[in-house]
Amino acid sequence: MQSKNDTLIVEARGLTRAFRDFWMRTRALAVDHIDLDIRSGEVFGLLGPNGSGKSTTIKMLLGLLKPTSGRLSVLGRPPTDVAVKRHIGFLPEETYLYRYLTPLETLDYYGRLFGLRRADRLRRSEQLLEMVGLAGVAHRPVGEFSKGMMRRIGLAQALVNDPDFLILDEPTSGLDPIGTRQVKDLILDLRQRGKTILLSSHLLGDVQDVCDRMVMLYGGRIRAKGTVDELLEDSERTVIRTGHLDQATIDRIDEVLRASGQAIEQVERPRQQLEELFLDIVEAARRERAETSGATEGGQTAAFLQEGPVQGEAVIEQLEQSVERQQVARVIDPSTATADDGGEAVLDALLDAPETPPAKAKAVPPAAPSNVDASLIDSLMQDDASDGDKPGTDA
Amino acid sequence: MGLTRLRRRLDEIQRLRWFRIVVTVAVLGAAGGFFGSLLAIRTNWDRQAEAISAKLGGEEAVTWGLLLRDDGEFTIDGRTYSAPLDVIETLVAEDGSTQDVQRVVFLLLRDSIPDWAPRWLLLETSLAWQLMALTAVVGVAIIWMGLLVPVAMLLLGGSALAAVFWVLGWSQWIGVPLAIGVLLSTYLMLIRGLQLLLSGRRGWMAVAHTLLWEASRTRLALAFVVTLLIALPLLPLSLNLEAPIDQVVQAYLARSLSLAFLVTAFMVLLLGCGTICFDIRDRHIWHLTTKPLGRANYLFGKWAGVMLLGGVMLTVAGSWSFGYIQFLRTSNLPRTTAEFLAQEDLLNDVLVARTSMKPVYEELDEAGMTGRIDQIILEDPAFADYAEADIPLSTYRTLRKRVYEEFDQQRRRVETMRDPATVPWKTLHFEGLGDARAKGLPLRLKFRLYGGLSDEHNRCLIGVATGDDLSDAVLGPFIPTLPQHIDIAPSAINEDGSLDVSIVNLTQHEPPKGDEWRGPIDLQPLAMSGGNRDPFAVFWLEDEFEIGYPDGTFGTNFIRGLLVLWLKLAVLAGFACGVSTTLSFPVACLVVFSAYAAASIAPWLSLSMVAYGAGNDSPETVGEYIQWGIEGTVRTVAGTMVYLLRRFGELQPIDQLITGKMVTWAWFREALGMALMWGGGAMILGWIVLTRRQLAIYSGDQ
Repeated sequence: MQSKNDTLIVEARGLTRAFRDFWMRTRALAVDHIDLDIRSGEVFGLLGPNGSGKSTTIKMLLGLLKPTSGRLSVLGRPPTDVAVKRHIGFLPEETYLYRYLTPLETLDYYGRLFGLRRADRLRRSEQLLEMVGLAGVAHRPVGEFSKGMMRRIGLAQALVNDPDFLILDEPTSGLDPIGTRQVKDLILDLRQRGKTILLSSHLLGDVQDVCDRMVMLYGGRIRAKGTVDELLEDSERTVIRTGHLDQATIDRIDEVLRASGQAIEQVERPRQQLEELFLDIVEAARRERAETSGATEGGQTAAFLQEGPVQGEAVIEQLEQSVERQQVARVIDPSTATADDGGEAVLDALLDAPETPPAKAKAVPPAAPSNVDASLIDSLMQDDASDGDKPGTDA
Repeated sequence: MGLTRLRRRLDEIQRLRWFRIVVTVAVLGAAGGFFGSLLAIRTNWDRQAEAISAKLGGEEAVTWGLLLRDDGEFTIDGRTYSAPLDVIETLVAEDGSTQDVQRVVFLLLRDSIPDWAPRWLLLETSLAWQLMALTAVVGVAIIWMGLLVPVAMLLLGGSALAAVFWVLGWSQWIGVPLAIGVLLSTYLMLIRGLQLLLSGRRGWMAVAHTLLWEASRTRLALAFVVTLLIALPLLPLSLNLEAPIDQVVQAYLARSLSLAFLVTAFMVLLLGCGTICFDIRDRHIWHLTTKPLGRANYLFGKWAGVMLLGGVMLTVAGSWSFGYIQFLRTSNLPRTTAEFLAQEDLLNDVLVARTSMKPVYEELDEAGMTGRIDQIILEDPAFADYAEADIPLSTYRTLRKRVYEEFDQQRRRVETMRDPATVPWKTLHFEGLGDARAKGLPLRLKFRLYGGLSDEHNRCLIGVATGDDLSDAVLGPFIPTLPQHIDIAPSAINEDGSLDVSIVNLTQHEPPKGDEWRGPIDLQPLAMSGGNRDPFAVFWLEDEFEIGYPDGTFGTNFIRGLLVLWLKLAVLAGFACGVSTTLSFPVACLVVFSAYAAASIAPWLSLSMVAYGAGNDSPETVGEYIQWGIEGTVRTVAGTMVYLLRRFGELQPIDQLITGKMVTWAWFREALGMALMWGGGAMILGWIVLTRRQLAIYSGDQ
């Protein structure tokens, strides 16, 4: 899937970060010569197991760490440039907020750091608290909050400046399924407005549901990159979904398949997802007006986050007006793999309907049980060269 | 939960516009009623004072004076005025003339003031007007800043506790909870006011604004705030109110301001270190530095917040101390002569801003020094075996030190008539008194003399003359080791602003009875004549002989003193913030507290280093080398510390205020320079570290 435009929000070339001990011996090579392009308007996933270099990469993007070598620009400027940060929103892996401030004061504080006017700060704070479901505890100190509530207020502070480039490090960590779903919805809403989002996670479902493109890191190196479809497509299998079939129909289909040299491997009745079940139960409880002292159901995406679309290019142009942008060599677009058309004849025989392109659903649970993600990570863990067969995979 | 709901409900009510308007009208009415009553009492007092003055200063003054002296009372317009006879006798002469009509009026009307009315407000109506305006402004500010609920709760709580003390009969404790409530309310109001001032959109303002929340809601700073605001109202309980009023006021000033500065300095150091160290340790700084907030802005905001908080604490403590001093000054009206004298001393020596000058002493030039050393070498048999060039350097240094000390002592010493080498008087030259001459301000020579056995039970005779002529001088008693003073007319000052004061040693004579100074008399023949006592040389310490004149009011001097203290806090805040960008909290605390202690003791350390000696310059044995090394190291470290920090310790505005000396604008400028140089320097170093320091850490598992 192509991004909405080719303006580069993040460009990294040979980005390396080593951590050294007192004697300057390399203790850990957290990021090892990675090349990264994040384009305006896309949701970019940074995927990898713990210690793979995701957080270190993000810290370098934010100017919290300096690269040991390589080049890095964010919105066309060095990441330590204060002007760049006006357009960035950041949710760290853990929420590090002042425990003595209330959510309202917290958002007001961060709003002030962005130079927002008082009226705007108040309006945005109220809308964000409503959005993350903390309006009812707006005057309680943050220190009294549960981890999930802290994540919610952390997310709100990351959005207070209506950022053009949003960096979310494990955004759903500590959130209940409702909050998780809201975060995914929010990400998709923001993408529709042309925002650029970098999502770092080791929760594969999160990344799969919302990301346009992703890279997979292991040992500080990029092991695979490309669009979600490119990376997840299993060219060896075909899944057909239909209404309930009786055994006779299944037998007839099996006969057709056998005629083509194939056979049904497994027939199963799909079960309801646990997430769906949970959401149904909570919804039922809310209809019964059951009381809770925690976070309530979040509202719609804050109104100020739904205002007119933003073009990432415009932001960069704005930054470029003051300082000439350092040119970074363009990265070669990842090659788009051609689908293996070996199964088309079988499909044509079964269904005479035209193929419809897969539309990006709005934060729906995974369509079918699949062990694709786990096997992918397993294969990464083995650290062998077999990944080279995947489309867009780095050798 | 119930209390929380009640508080929220009250908070909602206080935000209602109509409620605020009603309370505003009530507060303005109360302020007008209270201070209006005071002003009415004062008007009535003035009317009666005018009537008494007319009688005691009019054509029949003698008749009225005799009537008062005989009966201790008289009646004017149907109203009887009375006073203790023993006091009246000191104010009205036997012939019926009144020396000081105003003092008599004051004495006669002392009981015409209701107990509830503060005397000091009645005495100074301008202050009453100012306080009425201040009360109105503060009251309205409290209401419209949304502080009515906490302030009302504090005052009600204080009143309830005071009522309990009243029921228990603990009369001296009654005012304490009320005062604590008032102080905490004042603190809250000033903090809220500061937050309003810091409500701009600049990044450093936001950081400073949030630091004020931190100080008000976290235990680290709050412990110091509460400690100070509780301790201040308790301090009066430690005073000996039977002592003369000037000493009581001096004691209170010293204790309250010293306590306020010490507690605030500790808080500034801890908060300055804690707020940045904890931001880094707890990773709050990840949020902050990923916002458009430059690190210089961040650091400056922290420093400004800590400094402003220190300023608030000093303001609260200073206002309380100043107000309590006015209360002390005016609540106990003098009735006896001793009380009148103590009151005079209070006004002339303590509650004043006096510019002081020390004598311009003769300096010992290099030729004089060398000549004297040569003389010692020639005369002292201990040096007989040395050729001049062979004297070891360390011995030569010791001789220089000895010569200088002898010279220094000699210029602050008046020999007796029995010393044939000199005369029994010494003339001291003062400069820079042109302002006093131009304004006609009275001079006061303050001294503390030593000599003989330096026994404070001894009384001796001394003469003081101005100018070169000793024939028109005064003589009087002095008590060794006790501070004394003598007033000098401004006409004695020369046109160029200089003044020569001669001290004449008359210790061979019997001192006169009483404390009065007598003159004029020609001191020269008296000094040269014999007497019936054993004379002794008289000397004084460098800091205990000075001349001064009142050059400003205590109020403005007090404000300057607080400003200098505040700038010293700014130095500490800058140092704490700068250091904490590099070090962890415990280490940063260790460093800044050590530096603060070193700066505070640097003046004394400077004196100690004089006694430490020059050291052995030519060690020969291993032991001497070790000693030389240790002594050299200690001397270098101490010398560097003294050089860098002594001025911080020497700037002691509290000492100046206690002794009624002027805290000059030069002090203020010096403190400002120190704040900019040391505080600013530490901040710049901290900023350099912060911009280069990588604030994130490796969180992986390799």
